[in-house]
Amino acid sequence: MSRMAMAIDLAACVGCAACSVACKHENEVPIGVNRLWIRNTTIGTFPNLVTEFRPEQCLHCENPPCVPVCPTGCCFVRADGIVDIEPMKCIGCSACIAACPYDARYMHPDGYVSKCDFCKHRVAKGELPACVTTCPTLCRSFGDLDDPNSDVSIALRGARRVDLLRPGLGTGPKLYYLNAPAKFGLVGEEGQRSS
Amino acid sequence: MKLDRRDFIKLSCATVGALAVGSTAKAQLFPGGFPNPFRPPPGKWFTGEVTTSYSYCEMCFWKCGMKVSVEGGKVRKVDGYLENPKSRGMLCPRGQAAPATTYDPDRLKRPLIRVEGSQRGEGRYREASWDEAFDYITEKMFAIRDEYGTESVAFMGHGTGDEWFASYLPGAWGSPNAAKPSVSLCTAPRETASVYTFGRGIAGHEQIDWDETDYIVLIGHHIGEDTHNTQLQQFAQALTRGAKLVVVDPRFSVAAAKAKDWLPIKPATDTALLLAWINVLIEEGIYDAEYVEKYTLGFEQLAEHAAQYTPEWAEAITEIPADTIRRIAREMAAHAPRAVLPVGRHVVWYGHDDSHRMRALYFVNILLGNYGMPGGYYLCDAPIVEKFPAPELPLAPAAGGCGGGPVEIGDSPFRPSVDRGKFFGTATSVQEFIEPMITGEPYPVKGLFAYGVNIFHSIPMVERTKEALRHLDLYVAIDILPMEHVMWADVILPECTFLERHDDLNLVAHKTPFIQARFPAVEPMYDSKPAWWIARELGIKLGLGEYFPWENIEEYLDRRLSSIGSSLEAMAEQGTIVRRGRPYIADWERLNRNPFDTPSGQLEFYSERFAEAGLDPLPVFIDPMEGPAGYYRLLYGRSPVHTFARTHNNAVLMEMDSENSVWLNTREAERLGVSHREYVYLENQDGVVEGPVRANVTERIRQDCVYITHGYGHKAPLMKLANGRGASDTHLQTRYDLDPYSGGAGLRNNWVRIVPGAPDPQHKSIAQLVRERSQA
Amino acid sequence: MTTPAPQTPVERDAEVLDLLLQLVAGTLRSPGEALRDDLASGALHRAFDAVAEALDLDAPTLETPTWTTLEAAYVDLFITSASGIAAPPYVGYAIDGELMGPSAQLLGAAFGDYGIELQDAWSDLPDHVAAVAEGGTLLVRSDQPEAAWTLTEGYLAPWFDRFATAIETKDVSGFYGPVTKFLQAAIKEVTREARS
Repeated sequence: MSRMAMAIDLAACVGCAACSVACKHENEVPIGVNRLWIRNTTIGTFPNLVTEFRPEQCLHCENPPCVPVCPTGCCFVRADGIVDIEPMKCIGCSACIAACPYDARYMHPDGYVSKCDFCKHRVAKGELPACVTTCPTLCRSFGDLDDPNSDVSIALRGARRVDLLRPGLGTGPKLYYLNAPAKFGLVGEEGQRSS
Repeated sequence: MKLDRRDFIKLSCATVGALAVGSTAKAQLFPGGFPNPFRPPPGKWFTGEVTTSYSYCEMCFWKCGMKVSVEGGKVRKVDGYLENPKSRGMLCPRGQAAPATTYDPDRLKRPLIRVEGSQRGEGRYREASWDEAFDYITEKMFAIRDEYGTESVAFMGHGTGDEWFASYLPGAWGSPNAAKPSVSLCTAPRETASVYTFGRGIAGHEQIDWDETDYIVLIGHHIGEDTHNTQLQQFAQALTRGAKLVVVDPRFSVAAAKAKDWLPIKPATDTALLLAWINVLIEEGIYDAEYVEKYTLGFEQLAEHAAQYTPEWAEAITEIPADTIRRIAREMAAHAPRAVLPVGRHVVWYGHDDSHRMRALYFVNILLGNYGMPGGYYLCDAPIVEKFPAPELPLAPAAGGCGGGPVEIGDSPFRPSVDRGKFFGTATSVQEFIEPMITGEPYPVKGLFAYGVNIFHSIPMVERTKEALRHLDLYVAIDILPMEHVMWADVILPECTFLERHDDLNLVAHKTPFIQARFPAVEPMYDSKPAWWIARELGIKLGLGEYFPWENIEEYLDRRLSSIGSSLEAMAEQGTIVRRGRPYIADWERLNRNPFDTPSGQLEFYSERFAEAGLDPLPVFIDPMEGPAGYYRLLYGRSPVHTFARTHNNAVLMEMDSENSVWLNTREAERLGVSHREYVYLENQDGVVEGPVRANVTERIRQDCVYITHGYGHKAPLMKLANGRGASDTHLQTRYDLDPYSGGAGLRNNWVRIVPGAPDPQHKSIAQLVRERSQA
Repeated sequence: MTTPAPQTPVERDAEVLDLLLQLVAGTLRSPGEALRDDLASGALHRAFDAVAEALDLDAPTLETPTWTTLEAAYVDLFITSASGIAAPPYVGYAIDGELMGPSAQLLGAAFGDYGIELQDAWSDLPDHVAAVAEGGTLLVRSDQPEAAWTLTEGYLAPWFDRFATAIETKDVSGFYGPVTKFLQAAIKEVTREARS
């Protein structure tokens, strides 16, 4: 068993969207939908300001609300913890899109639901997801939470603080935000979704 | 059927000639006819047969080494690779989006000649073969030569191929009027200042020793919005490592968001701040006295000169408290020599002030003892690879390049460039070509080549540029997209994108100097050709064939590589060859060599050469140009997903950032009654109007200036994604100030007022436009 | 005394299809000497008339613009235009919304399987509408009319359906607009007939 997870260091991220563009080509994501995007929010008053650049995508929850609502069983959790979709079984009913509190899923123009799958085809070859590989700020860490020597485990141990997106929902995200720039952690979600 | 087929013989026999029945017809796999194209999507590209080849990126000037993945004859993905010191395995958003430019349906496809009798800018063209296009150009160039001289053909270029069109071809042809917007509209002041201070230029890679530094002060340097890949990597790593960051900027930039101190300086006063830092470092005796003693010239004059620039004096000008100025100076000194003020890239801000600012910036670094030391500026030179043996060019080097060094006409029979004598530096200033096209002074410029430059989105005073184009006898544009200025040309030559071509070797001055090569991943689409081919064929037609003695680029590259014991074949397997550098002064001293190529062999605070030319030998603060009341100074910068005005038709990048907005301070917006995201117009001091553009009402900018990202506001309907979105800073730049040292044109001397109430242009989403492009 | 065997519908229609595909190939390629001569000799008009008569359609009313106007109109509609081209001339683009997309690749593979190859001299994409039409004529003439029908229906018809109106709207030559609208109608008719 393993639990694949990702951590994003918000102290390093500049919101440049290299991750999003890499994902677009790697996974042939159509124009008009995205598997990952950047939320860019500023709080405070001139000149005492905090700007947070927060990449968002499927959080691969340990308790994913999208999975139980699927009528065909095409949404499932893999043995390695990646929340996945079998497009051939998907009937496009959109129940999972409605169930995801993070708006991480989209309808592919060909009629099935899709989303981030941690580039499982790359992971299978021992490579990192495309967003992790290309990030010029090296803000992303990926690996197995059950392995204390994985990149993600090391990053989590070294972080000044660790936040989860809307932890009160009880979804158990496996996408961790490290070193949020605001003292209180992640800022609200009113910011501009830039992509 | 009553028609006799012979009656129709012409069309039937001389149809397209695209396809032919092969000699061996294969078995029919589709006995029912052609397969239905409307079918379930095939497997993802990575499940197919993927091949890779090496290249280096051309999505911006940083040129990161990349591996290109091809499947099914199409480029699917690009990635950095670890062995390459530019990409180090990573790419920025623009690099990642390279395939979307290659497969942009709006690309230029075939050579075009403007229809006889039509006006420039009217956009009426006919197809031509390459031969016919070259004949047309050659005839006009000979006519210009015979009437006005070879110098009357000017060349502008940007990108890897500009070596051919802004340097080699003009050198062979005999025109010193060859220039790059990337010099006088970008880097010129930093280069002139560097050459006359350090005796060395600033490398394209900007030699900051990020990996060793502990304290960073950025002045108007937009790392994070400028996604210069390696620089961003090393900047982020330095911060993660615990390096402290101070950002000086009128705007809370992305970099400022990472800083421990943000100093929201009044625009156009940076030189005053730098002079005050020089003052504090010297007055408090916290500069690196040993370094200064050993390596510099003119410290006493500097100390005497800087005494007047107290922090209190600077506070009144910059609006940064004197205490803060002192505190930061002391912190820098405490971390020296591992404290650095990195040089920016685009530094033509205020004109008359720009070289002073750059010199003052270098002086602070020298006082911190960091030039040529770990954690400061490292020393670097490009690796040497011999040229292909060819006769010496009649005029070389023709264009100033980015080095800011002198372009000597020497004993040659050619007249000097049209801007010679206007500036102390001798790199040719691209904006100075425009006026002679109109006035004929000091001599006429009648022909123009524009290679990969967007002259309506780089050169200020766009209407003047258009007027100048109307006066030309020949205007040739070489590009990959139908930018607005391209559709003014007499001849349009389509270049293929970098993923479809070889190019010359890229020799990078770097801490570890390296050589990288570009190989075509796929064949050129349409009738597009690489720059090296276009230049060579045209050169031969112009009777300059002796300067192009190679048959093809493979021979050219292989010969050059053989001079370093490599080959084209070896390079195809390797992509990059990395050399050892001599990054620190100690590395030079071990060899008993002096890295500083100044007349004194020292780092020069006091410049005799400036003094002799009647210029200030030491940097001074000059009051900036001011604007009318009720107007805001127009600042500009970059979107992280765009390069110049060049990537705004790339569907993937446009989806990420599809229009710019004007940043306006919240209190000013309240005063004007402008709400966030509302559309407004921008009107500059000369009545030029841009927009509608959205207002970004924000706390992230001072009240006396506004900011937009560069490159938007295209006025080219053929650029279907780019056209009409946002506002163009260049079109609002109808006033500039010249730097007498470098010839740079300071562009931040324009002022705008906000005109509320612009209609919502109802822009379609990029996704909608992409759908419509194929479903018109 | 022998009488020729009566033509089957496919055989009879193959002649029409051949001529129709020649018209597509001949008019939607870059204008050259062949088009110039056929315009001057009236052969082109006669060919349109013949197809129209065979399919019971109205022949297009073609203006005869100056050659300069025709050349400029072609560039403006299909290659590069200051105001935006009306129609990228690639059949795969009309189907997939991308260049060299899955349909274009499928088409290229299928041509290969029918033994039809791209010529080196062709300096444009393989799924250019004129090239595809020419491939169709080669199929007809190599006694593979079934393949020509499916090619026309599957790959050429979508291009005309996507772009014919846009071409008609933007055309200033009085030539390409009527030609494209007629070819669209003729392809629709000929494929309908073949199916029935």
